Order: sequence, then C-alpha cells, then structure tokens
Amino acid sequence: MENAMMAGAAGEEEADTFILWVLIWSELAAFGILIGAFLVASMIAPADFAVARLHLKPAIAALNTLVLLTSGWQAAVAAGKGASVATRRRALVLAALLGFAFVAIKIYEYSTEIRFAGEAAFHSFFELYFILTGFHLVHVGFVAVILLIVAWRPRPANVDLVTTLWHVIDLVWIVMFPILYLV
Amino acid sequence: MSDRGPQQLKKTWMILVLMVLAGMLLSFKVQDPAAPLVLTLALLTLAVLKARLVVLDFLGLRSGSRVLRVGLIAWPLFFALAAAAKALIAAVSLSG
Repeated sequence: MENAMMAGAAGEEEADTFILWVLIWSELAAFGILIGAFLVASMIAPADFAVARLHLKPAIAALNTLVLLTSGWQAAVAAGKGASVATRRRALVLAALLGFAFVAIKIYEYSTEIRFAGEAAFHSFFELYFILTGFHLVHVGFVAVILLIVAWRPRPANVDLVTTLWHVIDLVWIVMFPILYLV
Repeated sequence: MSDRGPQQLKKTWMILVLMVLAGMLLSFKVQDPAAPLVLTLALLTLAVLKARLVVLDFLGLRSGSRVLRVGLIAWPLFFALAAAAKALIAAVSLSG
C-alpha cells in the first residue's frame, strides 16, 4: 500500500516535470519566432533599425541583466540539494523581489523610449521591440508572483518547477538583450 | 534542480556578473557604426557563454539530461549565429 502510494507520487512528479518541459519548449518556440522576426525585419530595413536602436538604453538593459542573473542565482540556491526550508523561503523571496525590480526598471526604460515609437520610420522596430520585451516582461512579473506563492510553502517539487521556469526566462533575456539592443 | 553547492553557485554568479560587465564595456564600442565586426561577435559569444552557465549550473543540467542540456544550449547558440550572420551580411554590404 505504502509502496503504491510512493510510486503514485513519483509518477505524478514525473508527469509535472514532463508538462513543465513541454511548456518551456513551447515558450522557447514562441520567443524564437519573435526573435527570428526581429532579425529578418532588421535585415529588410537596416538603416531604420540602426537609427531606432539609438533611442534605446542599453545601460539600463545591462543593469536589468544583472538584476535577473542575481535573481536566477537566488532561485538556484532555493532549489539546491539539502537547502533548509528557511533558506529556500528566503532565496525564493529574494528572487521574486529582484524579479519585481526587473519589472520596475523595464517600465522606467519604456517611459524613456515610448515617445519615439510613433515615428513612422521606427514603427516596425518598436512594434517588434515592445512585443518581444513586453511578452518577456509579463513572464517575469507572473513567475515572480508564483515564486512568492511557492515561498509561502516551499515544497521541493514546486521549488524545482518554478525555478526551472525562472531560469529559462533568464535564458531568453540573455539572448534577447544583445540582439535587440546592440547587434 | 541545481546540484551545485551554495559556494559554487556564488562563484558562477560572480563569473556571470563579470561577463555582463565585460559586455557593457564592449557595448559602448559596438554602438559606434564603425565598430569592427569582431566586437559584435565577442558580444554574442559572451551571451552564449552566459546562457551555457545558466543551463549547466543554475538549471543543474551539468549532470542531468543530455538532451535537455544540448537543446537548451543550442537555442541561444542558434540565435547568436543568426545574429552574427546578419551582422556579417551588413558589414559585407557596407564595404561593397
């Protein structure tokens, strides 16, 4: 009876992990399509994209990269083998707070860029820029809330699931940053 | 789940911070339209290396599933190569 219950729990955990990776790869596919569209559009109108890019703030985006990587570090600490409940909770809360800091910094950055978005020559650039970064920003905000919820009762299986998703969001930003702002 | 200890994770984080700072220094040069292509390639290489560290150490895939490890490193590598190809085409068409 006990063995059957343990096998059931293990099977459930395996199913959760499988669904998580299906979700992650569908997210990576969606972000991949958007990044691909940005690269193609920037080849079609290289001059417009180069000028539009001058209105972005790469220093703020680099700061946000530091914020997100530090958050990722804390998420990894929370998911580390043998971490105590207190360590898990503290690390998850820190990771979530840094996620909210990322959102706040990005909104500030938008406020400095939005006035250029209406210019006809930059329309295509800013449309893709806001879709890509906005889609990413929603993910950061949403999963930061989930991190806080999991921190309340940090079951190892839930910590693993939410931090895995968090690292993938981090990964997407690492790729997006140089492509959108610099290259 | 990461199989790295807290000290190893801290070390990885510090390496990532150094990479971001190096990228910031490069980015000031890359924004200049006359910047050589090699700076752009260096910036994209840094992005792939950062992504690799996140996958191996933060996601804990250094010793985990090989398929996931290869797939998750291939994803940033693919887009870095695409961006490098775009920069190369732009540089060639400018010089032509």
